[in-house]
Amino acid sequence: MSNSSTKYLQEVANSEYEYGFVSEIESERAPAGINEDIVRFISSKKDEPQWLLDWRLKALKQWESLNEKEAYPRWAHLKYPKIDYQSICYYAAPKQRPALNSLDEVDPEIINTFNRLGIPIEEQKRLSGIAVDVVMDSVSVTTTFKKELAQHGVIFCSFSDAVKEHPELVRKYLGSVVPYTDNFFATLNSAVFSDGSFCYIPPGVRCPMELSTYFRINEAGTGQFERTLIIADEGSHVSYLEGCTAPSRDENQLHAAVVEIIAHKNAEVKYSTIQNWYPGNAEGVGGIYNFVTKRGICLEDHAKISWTQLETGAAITWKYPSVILKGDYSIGEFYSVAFTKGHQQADTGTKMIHMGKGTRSTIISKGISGGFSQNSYRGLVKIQPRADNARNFSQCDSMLLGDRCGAHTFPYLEINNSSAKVEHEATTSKVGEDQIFYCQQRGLSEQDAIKLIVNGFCREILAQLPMEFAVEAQKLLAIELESSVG
Amino acid sequence: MPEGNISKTTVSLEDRILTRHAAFMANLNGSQPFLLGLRSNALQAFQSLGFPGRKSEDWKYTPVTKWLDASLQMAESHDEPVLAVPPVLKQDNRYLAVSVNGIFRADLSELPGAEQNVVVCSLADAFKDHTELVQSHIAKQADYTSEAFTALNTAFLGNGLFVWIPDGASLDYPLYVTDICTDPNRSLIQPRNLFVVGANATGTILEWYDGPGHPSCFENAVTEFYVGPSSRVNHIYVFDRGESADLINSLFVYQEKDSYFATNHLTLSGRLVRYNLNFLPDGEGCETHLLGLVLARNEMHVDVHTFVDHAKPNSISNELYKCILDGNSVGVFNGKIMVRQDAQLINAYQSNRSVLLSDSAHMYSKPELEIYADDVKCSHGATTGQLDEEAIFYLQSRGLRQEEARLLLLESFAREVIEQVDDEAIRAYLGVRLRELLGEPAVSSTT
Repeated sequence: MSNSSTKYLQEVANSEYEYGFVSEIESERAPAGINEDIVRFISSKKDEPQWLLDWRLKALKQWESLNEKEAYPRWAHLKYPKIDYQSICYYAAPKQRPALNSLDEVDPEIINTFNRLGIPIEEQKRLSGIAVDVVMDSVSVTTTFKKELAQHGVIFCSFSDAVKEHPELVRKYLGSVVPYTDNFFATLNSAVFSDGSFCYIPPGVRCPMELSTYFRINEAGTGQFERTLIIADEGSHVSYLEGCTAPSRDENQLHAAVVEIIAHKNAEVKYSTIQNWYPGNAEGVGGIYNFVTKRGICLEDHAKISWTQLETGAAITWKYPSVILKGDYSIGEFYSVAFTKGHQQADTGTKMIHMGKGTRSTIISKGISGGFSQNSYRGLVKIQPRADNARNFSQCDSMLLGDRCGAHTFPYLEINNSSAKVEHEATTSKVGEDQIFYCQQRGLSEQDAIKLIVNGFCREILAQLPMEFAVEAQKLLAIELESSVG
Repeated sequence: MPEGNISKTTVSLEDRILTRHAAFMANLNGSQPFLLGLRSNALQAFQSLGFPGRKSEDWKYTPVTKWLDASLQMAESHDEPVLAVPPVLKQDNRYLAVSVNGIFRADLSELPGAEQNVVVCSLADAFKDHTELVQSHIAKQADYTSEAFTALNTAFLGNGLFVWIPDGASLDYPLYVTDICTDPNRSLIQPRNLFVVGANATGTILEWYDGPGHPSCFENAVTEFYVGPSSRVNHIYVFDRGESADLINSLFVYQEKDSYFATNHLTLSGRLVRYNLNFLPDGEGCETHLLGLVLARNEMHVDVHTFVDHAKPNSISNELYKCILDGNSVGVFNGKIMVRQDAQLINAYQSNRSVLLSDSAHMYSKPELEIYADDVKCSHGATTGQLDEEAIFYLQSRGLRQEEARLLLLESFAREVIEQVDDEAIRAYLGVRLRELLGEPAVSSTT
């Protein structure tokens, strides 16, 4: 490749983070460290019922024994120093949180923060038709469009409100997909989770708007541990979007979230993520450690769960949105673009567990790595003995934008039923010189050509995002590529 | 009492190995210090590694201790073998290198004449006659510090096979390599082969392990190939020792620049079969081909691990591994392609295709890519499925019985690998043998 495009790609790899500002919002935080007192403190802050406290304490006990054995997952293709869990603050909330009835009562600084992020929480953005739950430093700040959603019977609120107002639903489903014993980070989350979003779609309802949660880590020295629970009852439909940013700091902050999705008969859930946590600076200092457990279950027949993710941020991404295809003829999908640059490391992928007859899953993963980054796809397709006529198609493509980065693929295919059809394909390549040449011949500059090719490479995935976000995602990708190029 | 017995027998295989090793070392008066050092280092490595457990990622689907039963003995017997060479190999235009219980026997072999300028002898002789050459190659690629079975083999290294094709030489006929196990007990045999191919040399090596002798051995073989610059090696490996034979085979291939190495791995029967196939093309312009076919039936467990490590730029590798699984058999494929930093312009292709013929057969496939260079074309694909109902129906509509249609489709599935075997007689024999095996109804497919 010619020098100028190499230079361009290097600049791309060193590009800066746009959302790195800090908002001056007074906050209330718990002392650093994790122990029973902290868990009780968080629970009492939220006026939680006894059963939830008990659940947290069981999780804490489990986590403490795991931590003692240092039983954190080491199999991922990631390198990071040992995390000191006692130096993290497990609870930080923006101060002044009386019951809010409208956005006018929200701290203007918070609104300002989200305006700078371009997040449509203001009523005037009604036209965009998106209900947003905003979570800042682990606490839900505001939820918009509550009333309108209530008319349809849709419950969309912060997790703590759900515990108060719909305890029977929370109690029934919490931990049913990701039990508190699931893995090191999910266990930690179960003990100290502070807030998150809760969503319930009643039978036969098609949610009238996109639902969205926005996560922002603002405080220094804190971790964010939110929990999302989505229940789609029989024949319902919902599309859900999550976005994340954080200020630039030279410390590593931990984000360990859990997302659980339950889809009943004929229900459909589409979950999209645009993850843009602070990735650390060009030397690899700072950035968010993103250890997330996301899992959905197609509980009954003909249910469908679809994950779409655009991962551009975080110093470390450890994330495997999965689907358990329990109901017959249920469908699981996973579409992912992971873009790493600088010293970012991503180990991401999915698990599709086929249990029911005639279940189908599709995995399309695109990895783009530049700079000194390492980008791995790790996925499992498991066909259980009873899953007759199960079908899977996986495609994992990687693109390398430099000669100091790495792109890796680790797919696991476990087939225990002879009627299954499982296909996996993976390719690794760079931006083709011939492709660039072709575009240049047609009058495009070299940089536009690379942008066009990268965009084309990801097109399949971006097309899966809800329309408004597809545009945002494309812009984000362009910014990531563009960086400091004048 | 019974508990005491069990714990005694489970510990004792490793114990017996250690006792045996002490005796083995004591009998080696006059051996070179190099060899003694190598053996004791390897034994130490084996002791600290131990047999791999379930937690080991490399043995995730193969709990190998299940096959290392208490009745397993170190091979003892030196009964004269019944040499039953399959007719297909009984041709004038072949050389024959025979080992018995992992010990090379020149008296049973038919070796190339002196005019060929090719050396085929026991490793023990080679250590005496070609000391420097052997010392610079033996255990160089076969890393015994991290893999227990390679360590175990290296600890008892001594009487294996050594083949040297010097610079510019070429083997005019294929060299047929076999090993016969004569111990009537269930015994552990450890063949060790070292092939050194100089610059601009060529040769065809045909490893053939089938039924003759006692079939219930546990074979732990290690083979090292050094392929010199601009050399060409064709390698064919056939394993067909029957349903009570276990095998762990570790192959290490080191390629110098502009060299060519092609291997065809055909596994037709066995009980536990595990391959660790390692290729290191360590020069520019290398070409590596790896083709494999596994036919697993009944209770067979086949685990294929392959690793192609592209250390230098401008090379090509091509891998195709096909598995047919029937009965309660288990297939494992773990193929890894690594492209190291600055190894640009690599074309690496890997494909694993499997057919499951029974509901109680299992396939675990894990094709991996680890790429650290940008100007490369690497891809892998893995598919698992069953025979196409429509194709069977089509053939039936053309007047074939269902069984014939099924056989025809399986044959054509296997043909892609067999077709590439670079030896017409062997190819024809394999076609017949495959038909014979596929035609036999699998014993337990009804369960």
